[in-house]
Amino acid sequence: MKKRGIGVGSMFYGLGYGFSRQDIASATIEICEDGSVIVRSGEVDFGQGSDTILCQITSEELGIPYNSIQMLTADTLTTPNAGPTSASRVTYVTGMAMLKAARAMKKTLHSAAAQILGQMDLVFGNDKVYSLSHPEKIISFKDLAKAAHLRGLPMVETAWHDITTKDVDPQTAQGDAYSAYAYATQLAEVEVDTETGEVQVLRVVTATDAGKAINPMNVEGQIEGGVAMGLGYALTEEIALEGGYLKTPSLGDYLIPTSLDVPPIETHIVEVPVSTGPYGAKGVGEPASIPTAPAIMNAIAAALGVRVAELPATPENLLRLIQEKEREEKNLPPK
Amino acid sequence: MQHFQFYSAKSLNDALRFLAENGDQTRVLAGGTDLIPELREEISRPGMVLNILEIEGLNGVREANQGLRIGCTTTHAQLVESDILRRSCPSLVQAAGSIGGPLIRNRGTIGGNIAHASPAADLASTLLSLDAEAVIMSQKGTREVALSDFFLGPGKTVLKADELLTEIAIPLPRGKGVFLKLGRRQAMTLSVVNVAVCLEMEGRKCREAKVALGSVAPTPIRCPGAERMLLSREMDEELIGKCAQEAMAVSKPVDDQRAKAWYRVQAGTVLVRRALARATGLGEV
Repeated sequence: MKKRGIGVGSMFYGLGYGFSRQDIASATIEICEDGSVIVRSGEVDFGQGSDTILCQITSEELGIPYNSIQMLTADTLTTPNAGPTSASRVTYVTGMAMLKAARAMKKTLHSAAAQILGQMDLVFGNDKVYSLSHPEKIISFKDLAKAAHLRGLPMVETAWHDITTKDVDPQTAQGDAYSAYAYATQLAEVEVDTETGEVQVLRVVTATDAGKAINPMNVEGQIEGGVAMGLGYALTEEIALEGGYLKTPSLGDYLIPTSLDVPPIETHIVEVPVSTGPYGAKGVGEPASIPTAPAIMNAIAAALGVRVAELPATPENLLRLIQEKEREEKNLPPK
Repeated sequence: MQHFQFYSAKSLNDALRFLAENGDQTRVLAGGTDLIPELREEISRPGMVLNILEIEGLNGVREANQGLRIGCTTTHAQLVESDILRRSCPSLVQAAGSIGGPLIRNRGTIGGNIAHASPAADLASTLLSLDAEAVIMSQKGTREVALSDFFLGPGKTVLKADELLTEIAIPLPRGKGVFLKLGRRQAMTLSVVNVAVCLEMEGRKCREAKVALGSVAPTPIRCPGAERMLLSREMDEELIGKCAQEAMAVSKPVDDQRAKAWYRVQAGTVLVRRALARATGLGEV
């Protein structure tokens, strides 16, 4: 027989290192004479999209096209330290350092533009700088960059952002351990084959508080990847040891989900801005994978009325639980 | 990986000559999805590797002598796409389509799958349920061995050092074949247990029954007791249930990383029952 169930998993998660552990990032921005921009940061983009985010922040602040910015990241010779890509902190902490560097640079450019245009109410947008009250007072970003260079203005800015928190009270363990928290909820619908213990995840619906989604498609991608990881954690991925030896040393034994195992995923991005992140943004990387296994386990419990206490919930483990429950219901002694 | 000599045979005769001279230190490359990892991890350390993939005439599915002949270098993807097989052996198409993923199916071959003699080989149990024969050639001549006599144990077959498995011969099946596989995920997975049946029905009675199991014994196996039982009376759910239990009675499963023996027996019983129900037209039970 096949039984279906729906389960919910919810989580909150401290962003960055918290508990008084040092949490600092830096970023450098340089305006070249031709109006192009070079951004340097030690942050490593290993596929999660942080280069995209840092570039977007620079583009947004200076009102210049994304493709006029050159990113130099994760090069210890040329980039300033930004701390590790971990703790869902890159957009949240390094993004803020990037924002500060871009704003410091904007201030210098603003003063140069104010002298040239004779106006103070300046807007940076569409690769130009112009006066809000007198839109005809306008200069291209390229010309402004050249003029600023000719005036000998500093065209490099480095900013640090320090989000290190206070530790909690050692006696009571009370306090603000983290500077911000991420929230996410996921729903999973499963179908369990009660005779073989096989679980098929039919769909997953997610809602993630991203603070502000700087790149919604990127957020969606992170969440879908996180759900796939959570699904593997729930159902197949296992580090099995025997006598100290690893029994699952290859990806032929340690089973991550294939594209055929991952169900349709519906993502809902919730935006509740946080004052400590760039434009209110928070990290979404780890929060994406945390609620998946609980949601699937709750869905299995809803379908079968049994609780899985050990992950992964293999067909074998589930079949044993199903049969134990059947014996209980028939008042038979356990096997 | 240890060094070895690599030889690409130009023709069948060339390959048979090579094996006659070097067979005892040669592994045959018929796709490499099993062989290459074994060479890399030095599970196998042959002095020579004989490539048979460039030999003409060993590839493809053809009709011959009221049956089918499948060349040993025919890939799983070719089996899936074969019009002849889709028409006459849908269970073999099903089994071939369940192997690995697209990359493995484009590379792996039926000859390699059978000669490698994995107890879990998806094609092996299916071919057993189709009464297939292995066509084996050497310089001394040709012999045909029923697949039920071909496997001796995990990785062991009746193939001698100078022999090459050149073709699989299948008599045209008269009944309906069904293949079911239980793996740990939807693709890129070895069978925890697989089941292949082929039944010829006459009304509600079964005229001929073949039931085969994979991944539950040292070799893929046929289940003669269950087959006899299927012929005994009119088909119903009760008979199918009993036959499924009888089929698993001859299994000798082991505990491994994929599943424990007790689970293989239980899940196998369910799979045999479902396969029989589909093949007899009783639908889902």
